[in-house]
Amino acid sequence: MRALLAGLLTLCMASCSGMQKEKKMDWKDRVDPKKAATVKAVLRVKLIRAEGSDKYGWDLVGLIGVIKNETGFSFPKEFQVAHYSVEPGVPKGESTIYLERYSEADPPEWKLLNGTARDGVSDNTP
Amino acid sequence: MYYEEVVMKDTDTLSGLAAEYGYKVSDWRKIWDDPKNAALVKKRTKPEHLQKGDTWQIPIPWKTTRRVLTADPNGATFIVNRDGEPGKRLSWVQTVYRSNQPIGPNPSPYCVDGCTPDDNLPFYWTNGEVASPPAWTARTTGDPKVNLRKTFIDHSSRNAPSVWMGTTKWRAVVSIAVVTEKRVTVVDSYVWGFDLTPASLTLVGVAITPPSTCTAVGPTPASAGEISAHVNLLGKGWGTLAAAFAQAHLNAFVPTATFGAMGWTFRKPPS
Repeated sequence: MRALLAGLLTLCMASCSGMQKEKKMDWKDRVDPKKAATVKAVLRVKLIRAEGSDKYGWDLVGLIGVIKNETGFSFPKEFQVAHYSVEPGVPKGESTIYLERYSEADPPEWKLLNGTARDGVSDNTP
Repeated sequence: MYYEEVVMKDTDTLSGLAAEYGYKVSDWRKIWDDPKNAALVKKRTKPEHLQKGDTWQIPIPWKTTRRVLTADPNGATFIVNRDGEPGKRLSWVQTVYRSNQPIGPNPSPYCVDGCTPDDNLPFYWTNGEVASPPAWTARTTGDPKVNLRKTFIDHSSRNAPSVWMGTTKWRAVVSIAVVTEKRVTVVDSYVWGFDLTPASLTLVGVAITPPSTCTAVGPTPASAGEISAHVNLLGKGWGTLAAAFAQAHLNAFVPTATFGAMGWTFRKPPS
């Protein structure tokens, strides 16, 4: 009985870790290399809510994973991303976002590449 | 029209000043021949004889020529054009009252737009945006050669507020800005905005209050009181330097880092 349980546990662990690995590979592969080459931060995020806009719109996103980060900044679990108010922001669901500095302020804030989802978002899964 | 008092520096020329304040270079005579400058012209006799420290009264006739406000379900878009040439001492300023829905990292209901500062200057467009307008500005205006010294574009929106929040009454005042050193004179100011009523309150899936509606407000010429409030708010606004300080100090009020404290002054046109 003990051997059977241990076997089942081993099987489950192997299966679960395999699933995790597959899932990680999944979001890490969702990248547009051309866009990624132009920015220092590429993240997989989920839109929590779009808050509206003044000159800039602000979208609250939840961090799923870091694909590239050469910014020296540690992105928190949730943070806000700007886009020009006339331009589309982070869409609903999960997206890969390409970020540039919003301003010279320190600590930094972030906006989508060129201030728009046209350039700063790919691989959206609603 | 009003007159902008400008003291010449070593490197200034009258034609150069004319261009910087929105004239064609060839129109320098409009300043030279203005009766307000008669004493200086009599003293110097020729533009080549002008000296550092000479004080000009530069007529500023520029005004907005086209103002288009368009409502959408959650906000409004405002596009403004002005006459005159681009002129590097001409810009735009906008102050905003964000009612019951401040958004972004800056939590204040009142702000100088970009409300979360995108640079350390009080103007609407950053120097980078003026030098290289973002692609959307051409798309929005339909002008592939849009010049942001002559064109203002904003789109503001909010999510429908809850019944408990009440109507969101977003308002802004936008002006042509005439800039001499750190003195900004606001010209031809307009109020615009929108009223966004609350979203439907539903009970067991049934709407018991009407759906949200959005109504554009304005544009109307700003009243004397509105311009005073606009000028006052510009002085109390803050840029990236203060924003960084505020974040580091848990959003503590930082009166020493406002545009006013940084040496900027804001005024209505002198009468």
